[in-house]
Amino acid sequence: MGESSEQDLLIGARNFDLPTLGAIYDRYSPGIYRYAMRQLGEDCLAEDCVAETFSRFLKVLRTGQGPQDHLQAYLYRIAHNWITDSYRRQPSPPLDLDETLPGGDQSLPEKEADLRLEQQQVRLALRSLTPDQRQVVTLRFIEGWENEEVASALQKPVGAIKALQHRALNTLRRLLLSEEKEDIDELKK
Amino acid sequence: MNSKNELDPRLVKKLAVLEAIPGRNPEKASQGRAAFLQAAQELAGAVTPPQKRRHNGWMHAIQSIFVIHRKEQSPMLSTLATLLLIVSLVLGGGGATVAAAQSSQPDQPLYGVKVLSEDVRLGLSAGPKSEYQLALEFANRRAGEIQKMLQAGSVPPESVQARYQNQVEQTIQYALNLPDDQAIQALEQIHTRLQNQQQAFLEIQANASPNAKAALIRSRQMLQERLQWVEEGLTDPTQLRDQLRLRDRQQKQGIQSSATPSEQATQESPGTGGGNPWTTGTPTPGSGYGPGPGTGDCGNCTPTADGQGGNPWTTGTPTPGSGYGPGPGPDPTRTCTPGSGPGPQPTQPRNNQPTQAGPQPTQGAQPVNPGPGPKPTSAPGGQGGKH
Repeated sequence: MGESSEQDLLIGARNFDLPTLGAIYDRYSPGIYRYAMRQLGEDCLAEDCVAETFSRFLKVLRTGQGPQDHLQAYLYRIAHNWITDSYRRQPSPPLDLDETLPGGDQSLPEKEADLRLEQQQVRLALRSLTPDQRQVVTLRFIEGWENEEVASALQKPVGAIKALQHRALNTLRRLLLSEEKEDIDELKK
Repeated sequence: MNSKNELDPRLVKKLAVLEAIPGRNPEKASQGRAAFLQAAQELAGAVTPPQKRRHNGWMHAIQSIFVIHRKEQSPMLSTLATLLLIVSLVLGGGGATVAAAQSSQPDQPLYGVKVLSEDVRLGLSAGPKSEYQLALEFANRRAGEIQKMLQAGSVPPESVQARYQNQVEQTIQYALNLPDDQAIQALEQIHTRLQNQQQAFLEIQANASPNAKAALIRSRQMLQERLQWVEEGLTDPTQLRDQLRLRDRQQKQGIQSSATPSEQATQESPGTGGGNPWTTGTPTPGSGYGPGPGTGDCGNCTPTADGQGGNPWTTGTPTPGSGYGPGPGPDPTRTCTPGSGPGPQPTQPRNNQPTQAGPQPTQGAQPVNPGPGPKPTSAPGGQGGKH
């Protein structure tokens, strides 16, 4: 969707035009769900995140405020704040495996277990980042946004985004790849 | 930026594991959408009216005059703007008070504001010229206030009279801070003003009450003394500067009391030899004011510019036997002879600064009013007692 259509959506949203609001939900809620799901790992929490994000959006519209542009970045910023609050509210979940795994038709249970274990490791590593670093890494490398889009979501200049990204990747490499190297070293022995 | 970080395939692969997430439950998604639209529908009916219709509409009305209307309002900015507006109005009101106080008299409540505003203006003025002009204007105001009160039959408060005297002295000081040519012009201006004030006081004196007369006489006496300062300054600004500087130093050091120069004359302890350059009266006999013992050795004498001795601050006749006047120096050839007329001109330049190397006063120095008393060996008054 181009810039103008996003503007149209915003104009409709400010007037509480229900079809426009429905269109906004349809367009952005799947992405926000994925964004939340990747970081939280639980569909219930991800649904809560989506619901809360759009609820806050409505409240902002009601007060006559809200974004002038970059609606998508604005919604992701709300979601990111909600996730950060969620991290603060809840301690890190234990790294365990469910007894029943939702395996697909073509996936083996052991592969699925490995994947979930690995996902949990990455989420734990992401939680160790600062909120801004986590948002940059998630949007840039998992959601596939460009630096400019990430910059508009964080309301920071592109240079600052690159600096955040640099520090975040250093931390992640130390957390995720050093363990891998130790495992390889142990196997070689 | 380390590009290696971005391209590290192992890290990218690690992060990519999060891309594989189970799909969203369609039922939950539709429920979420329905809940969102229902909330939107409820809010659409309850959308609040524009803020200008609220009870705090006055604030927005004020803001709308000065601030461009913004669709997205910032509460912090709005509050700040309102506060700034109120503060500016308050300060503007203060300015109106100060303006209203300018015509107040000493017995009116706003007089303190007037005096304070004058001090502030004087403190904020830049440059000696503007300081002088302001001080002259303020001294003139004080004179006008005192005159008005005396005409009305009331006695001006002591504080106002003291302030008047201080401001006259301050004006002379500021005038002397100017370069010599400007200082002379300023002193002439002050002289004219003080004479006018003196004349005005004289006119009032005829119909003044007894109480008011005392204040009048005091003001006139003060003016008379300051007029003499000014006249001396017109003759030689440098010398007046030195005298005022010396006076200030003495006041600061606490050697002298904070009295005016004329009062110092009466407070001078006998024999100190300090002399009083400001007094118009006759030196007190034995006060040390004068030539002193008359040794004839005067290393520190201050001859006058034109080679005349005597007290430059007085035109009166020295008291016989007071030691003021030509004294009997041991060497008759170096002694001033009363009425002998001007001798050879001193070799000292006109600025006439006291100096050890200066010419001996007996060489051409002649007292202005040579008296019948002992002959001084040093002509200028006020220093001889020390010699």
